[in-house]
Amino acid sequence: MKIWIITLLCTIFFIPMAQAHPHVFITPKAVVTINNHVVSQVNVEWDFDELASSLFLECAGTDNGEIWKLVFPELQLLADGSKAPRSGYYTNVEIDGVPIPNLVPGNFQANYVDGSLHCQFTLDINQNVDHTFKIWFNDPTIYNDFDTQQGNFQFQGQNDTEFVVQKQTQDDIDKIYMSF
Amino acid sequence: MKRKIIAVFIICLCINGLVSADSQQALNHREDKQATSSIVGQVINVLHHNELLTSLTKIQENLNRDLAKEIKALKEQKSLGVLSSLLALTFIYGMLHAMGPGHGKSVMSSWIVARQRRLRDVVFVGITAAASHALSAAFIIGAAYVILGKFATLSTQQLNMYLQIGATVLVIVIGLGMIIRWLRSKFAEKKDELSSPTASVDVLGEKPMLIALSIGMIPCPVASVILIFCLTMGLIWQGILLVLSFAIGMVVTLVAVSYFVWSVKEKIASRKLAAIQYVFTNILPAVGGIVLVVLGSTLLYSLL
Repeated sequence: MKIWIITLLCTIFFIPMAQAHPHVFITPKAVVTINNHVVSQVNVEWDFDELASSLFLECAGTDNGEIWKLVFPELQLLADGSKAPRSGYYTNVEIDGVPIPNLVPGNFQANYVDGSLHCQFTLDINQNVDHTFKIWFNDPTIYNDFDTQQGNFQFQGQNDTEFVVQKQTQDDIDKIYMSF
Repeated sequence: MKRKIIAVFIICLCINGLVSADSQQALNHREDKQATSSIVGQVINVLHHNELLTSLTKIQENLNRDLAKEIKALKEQKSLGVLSSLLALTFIYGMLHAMGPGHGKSVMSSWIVARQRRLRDVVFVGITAAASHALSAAFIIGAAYVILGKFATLSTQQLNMYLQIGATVLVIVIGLGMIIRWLRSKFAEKKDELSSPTASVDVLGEKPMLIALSIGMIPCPVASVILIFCLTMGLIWQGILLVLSFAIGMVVTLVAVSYFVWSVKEKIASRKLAAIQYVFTNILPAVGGIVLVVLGSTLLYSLL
């Protein structure tokens, strides 16, 4: 009997290895507004690959509401678990090492440029940053792959202290890291 | 006892790790959020985001972009040269895509190692699973166009989810079938009704077609988007050809993996060591079934 319990435990342990592969490729861009150590908001843009964009157009047309449903999946197009609650909408922000909870995208807009879907939304943060600000996009099901490039992230605003922006890779997830 | 435990552990590692893969659903956001703060979450994160998978993803991303460019070029030029290069691209894309997790390799491997299989059954499962995975997408798109007048709608996306649920239920049924068969043979062995635990008992879960169906009934989203992209550009028969080429690429990978697992198992099984024979006749048949039941249940839980 012990053997079967161990088999079961081993299987459960290794199942997470056996999941997920990418189907949708997204290039994220962001403009972070930061004035004197206060991050007010982040304007995000996601550019989808053309093949997936054609499916969006066919399924949802140009209706922002329908595209929202597909981008933040309620209908299984972009990720799994139709009733799975969102947690951050693939979007993660960390300030001074503390994750910002319940990030909900606002002002969602979608349009097609040369057949490619561009989605824009705003994250309202309004928090003080003492040392570090980190932002990254990650779909834990890996159905969507985010191609994060440092050049696509801008930090704007008035700041009396110099800061450094760089891309860091943690657990093979690319993150944009800003530090004063 | 120690040897048995080590054997079980290695088998699980082989099935779920080295030849990894089954459907892409099990982790959802809720789990991710709760899990990342725990040790298990960190382990999952590292396993999901490893260098090999990252490289494979990068190559697929580039192929995806090249494919879109070439399809646009085909629309402009309609030349045989562009079509040939597209066919090569989709073939490679299909091969690489099937290498990633989530294409039934765990299910197939569990089925192969659980009992002695004929090579032709193994190859049949590999071909049928990969081909139906890619071509079912084309079928749904065609049916959607005939019925709804569109290549894809929100309801066809919903249909995909129901098919995923159906596939995971099938995986559980197959796993249960394998366990029942094992229990029956054990029971019969004790009663001296059968001389060998491997004696043939026809059980639903042992049918090659069911295994192929459990993997292939979920339409491949990549095949869907390739076809829809072509169709929206008016490239009908070219789109169908590209999906066929993509399917052939997937077939090559799945057949290669299943042949590899089968041949390794056959080589090990041919050794007449008592310990190996014990594992093959007493442990593997049940382990295969348990793996499938747990795998299917986990995926089903994540979908409901």
